[in-house]
Amino acid sequence: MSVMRLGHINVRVLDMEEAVNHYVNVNGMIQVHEDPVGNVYLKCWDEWDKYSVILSPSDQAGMNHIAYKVKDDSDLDSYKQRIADYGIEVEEVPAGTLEFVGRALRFTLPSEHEMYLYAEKEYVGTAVGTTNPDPWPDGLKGAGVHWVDHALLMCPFNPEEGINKVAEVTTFMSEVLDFYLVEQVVVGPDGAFQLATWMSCSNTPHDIAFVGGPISGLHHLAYFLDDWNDVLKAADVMSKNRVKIDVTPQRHGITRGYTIYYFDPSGNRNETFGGLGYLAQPDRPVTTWTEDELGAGIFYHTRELVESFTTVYT
Amino acid sequence: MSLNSFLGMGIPRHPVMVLQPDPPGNGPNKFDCRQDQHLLVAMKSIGGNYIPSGCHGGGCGVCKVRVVSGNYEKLPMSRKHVSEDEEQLGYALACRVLPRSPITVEVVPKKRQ
Ligand code: FES
Ligand SMILES: [Fe+2]
Repeated sequence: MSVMRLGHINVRVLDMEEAVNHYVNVNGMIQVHEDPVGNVYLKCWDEWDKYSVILSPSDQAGMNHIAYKVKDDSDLDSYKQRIADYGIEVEEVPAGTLEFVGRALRFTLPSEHEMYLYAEKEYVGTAVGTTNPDPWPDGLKGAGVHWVDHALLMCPFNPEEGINKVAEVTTFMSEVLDFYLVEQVVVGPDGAFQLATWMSCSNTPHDIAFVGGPISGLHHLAYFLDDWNDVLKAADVMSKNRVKIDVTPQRHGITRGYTIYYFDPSGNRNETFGGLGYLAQPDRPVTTWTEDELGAGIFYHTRELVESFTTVYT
Repeated sequence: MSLNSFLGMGIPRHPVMVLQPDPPGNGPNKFDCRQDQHLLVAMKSIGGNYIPSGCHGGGCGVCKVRVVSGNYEKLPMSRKHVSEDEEQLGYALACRVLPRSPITVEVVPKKRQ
């Protein structure tokens, strides 16, 4: 396996000043760069590569692309071949196409999302360094998130018309990009349709997730926090800053994470994901949630699916 | 920011009337909205559910309304959900509308969007 992790996500915002204020002062990221066309690049304190979020000025909210980092440069050659052999058009773009990033592969997932794979991004180091480091740095703002943990992408799903992009993208991710399935929600007669999947390329319960909906889009991007107290404090930070919270601190049945769903000022959903959930491994048996317990899978305490979970996204 | 403005004291409020599409229609619903707050903040703070509420950022489109009458200011809203033509006709996202006078809006159901 050679995809290591989510490297960055490029999100569109309607008002850059408000967006930067949110990602810096509420989430606690650090602005590291602004390019000539006004894209703003940010990192979290515990990340060592140059950036993990790009904000792009736009007249629409949503996601432009998502990028995963592979271990070795040569992995890009083998993935390029495998993606093309699978029948998906793949383009190699030169170093610098993504700022501070080496050569990269660009392609569109069966779920209509644009994805990049790259092997190199400029190294800048974490805020505590690598020699006798303290456990956390001084001067953290807002929630002080550690790193961008995962994203959940909405995929066209209409089984009556034979459309299930959740299943298609899940197959692609496992057969071509070497992700493995950790948890799934199945619906319909005998659970015939995969409505949602959580997939890993590491040892965390998910590095990416897919959920079915009317159209393709971004459901959320999530940040890692250590524990429940950090999640509680993050929610306080949000209320102090009048951030719109979608779902207050709660546990996910799926992945066992401690969550808050909330929105950036352009309506892109963010999440704080606390705790490690469990040790995910390729040979760990897949967890399946059924349609009648879906509410508990998503929100373990209320056991109710809020309508906004599947209707509100960008 | 002074304490009074932080508490919202002295900030003008405007009555908001929400017309529901018919059918089924469940009559107009009213609430007051401070002019420094958008319609959904005011509606949700009294527990109202007259307009669908989502991201409160102009990004998701669930709160689409047509302004029937009244003056308002708009915050940036996603073109994916309100086109320029629609905006000219008074369509807006309720979470992007700051009232400047008494205002009446009609909910635009998702299937008609
Ligand atoms: S609530 Fe999402 S656009 Fe208004
Ligand atoms: Fe998540």
